[in-house]
This record gives sequence, structure tokens and C-alpha cells, in this order.
Amino acid sequence: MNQVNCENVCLAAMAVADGEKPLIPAPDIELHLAQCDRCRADVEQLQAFIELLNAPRRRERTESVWRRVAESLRHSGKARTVPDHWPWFLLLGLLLAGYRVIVAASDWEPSILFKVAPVLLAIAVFIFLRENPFKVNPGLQARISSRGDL
Amino acid sequence: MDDLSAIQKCLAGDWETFRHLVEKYQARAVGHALAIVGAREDALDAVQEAFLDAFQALGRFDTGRQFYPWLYAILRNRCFKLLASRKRLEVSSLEQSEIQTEILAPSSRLSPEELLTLEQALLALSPEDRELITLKHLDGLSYRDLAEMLGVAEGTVMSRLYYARRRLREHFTLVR
Repeated sequence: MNQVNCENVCLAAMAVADGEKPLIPAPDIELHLAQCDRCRADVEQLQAFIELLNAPRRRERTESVWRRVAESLRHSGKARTVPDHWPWFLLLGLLLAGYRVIVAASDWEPSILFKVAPVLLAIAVFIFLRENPFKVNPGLQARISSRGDL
Repeated sequence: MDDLSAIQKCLAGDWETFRHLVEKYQARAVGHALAIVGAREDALDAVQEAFLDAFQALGRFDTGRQFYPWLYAILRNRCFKLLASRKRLEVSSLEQSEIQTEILAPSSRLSPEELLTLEQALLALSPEDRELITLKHLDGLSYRDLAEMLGVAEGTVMSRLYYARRRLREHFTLVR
């Protein structure tokens, strides 16, 4: 238990006003306040002020920071896009590569490696960069559309 | 989408899912930042930086915790850094509006004059006092929640709150 003095009693009375458990038992607080005019006046003022402070709410904010955050992420290079459907593009790439290998295998020559290697390399690069080569650039699309309007 | 799924998607590389977290918490974060830094533009800067810090640190986020308290710790760090740099430049840019309050919403229990006086008294406090008072009274946090949010003991919260309220009351009486 905390020592019953003016400061601790005021702290405890504030805790009671806040609906918290005081560090000093309530009867001890009351006894001290009954005997100490200064503390009693202080606690009464504090209680009234707490009521006033409980009246307003925080003003609701409507500002949006997403555009600023997204731009910073893009410029800092921290953002990398991975489309949800990237496995489909991987599968398509593998099928195309497989088809190319089967066609080329029918008339097998050592030069086949020179034909297949660029395709495999391109697929590997796109996988490594996590980029979708078929994705339409919305900015470019908008520019093309606006030119069309003109 | 819940916060955890959004965080996991971000970590998997789908950074645009971070938008979900930004849009969900930006209003609360701006309100909290404004209560610390006192100026709208500074608050927006601090919130932006805090979200960027959070994005970078997502890998270290403890998924057993809630997202906003974690973000708040980053945000208040950003706010105090911003205030420290402002002090170094010896620039005081508290925007004390004479027509409209920025932190406090209109209340049926207080007149517009009382509300404005209270906000001016709040802005006259130190950022630490202002943060504590607004978290207590505008968000209705308990001593335990405040202690957790500010990383201090409950006893410290009680004592700091007591003296912050006294100082606020003095400013309130003066401005009145």
C-alpha cells in the first residue's frame, strides 16, 4: 500500500474518477480529504475538469495517404508486383517451351540448342523478375486511349 | 481481408495489398499523429513515413499481436523524430486555428468557444502530455492500455496523467 500523503491521495482520487483501482483504499482517501482542505479543493477541481475532458471526441480524419505511400514505395524500389495468376503464365511458358522442344526434336541437330535456349532464357528472366510480360500498362493504355480520342 | 492475410500477402511480394492496411488505419493514425505534432501537414508526413517504416519492418511483425498498436509505436517514434528535427531548426509551426478545431470534434456538451479554448490549451502542452491526455480522453484508454501503448508502467501513467491534467487545467484557465 502507498503512503497516505497529499500527492498519493490526489493520485488515488484521480484514479477513482477515471474508474481505475486506486493504490490507496477508498476509506483512507475519504479520511484524508475530510481533513485536508487543499487536497479536497484540488480533487474537486480535478474531477470537474475530467468531466469536461471526457465531453469531446477525436475529430474524424478523412485524409488519404495511400497515394503518397504507394509512390514512395515505387520510387524506393521496395515494391515488386507479383500477380496472383503468375503460375498460369509459368505453365503457358513451359507448354510453349515443351512444344518447341518436341517440334525441334523431330529433326534433331546440335543447332537446336541455339533455338531453344533464348526461349528458356526469356522465361527464366520473367520468372526471376516476377514480371508478367502480357500485363497491360494502365498508364500507357490511358495515353493510347486519349490519343485515340484526339 | 483481415490484417494477417494482408500482411502475409505483402510478405509474399504482393505489395499492393498493403493498401488494405493503409486505408484501414490511416484515419486513426492521422488523428493520433496530429495530437502529437499539432500540425496537419506534419501529421500526414509522419503517418506516411510510419507506414513506409512498417512496410519495411513487416517481416519482423509478431503475428500474435494486433497490427495497430505495433504501427502506433512506429508512428509515435516518427512524430517525436519530426518534432526533434523541428526543434533543431528552431521553428515552431503549431497551427492554432482560430475558427476550427483540428483535434477535437464538435460536442453537444461543450460550446464552440469552450472547445476551441480546450484545443488551444492542448496545443500549449508538451507533445508527450498532449499524447497522453488525448489517448486517455479521446480514445478512452485504460491505464493498462496506456501503459502498454506507451511502453511504461501503470504507475508512471497515473503520475504523468495527473501532472499533465494539472498543466492542461492551468493552460485552459489562462486561455479562458
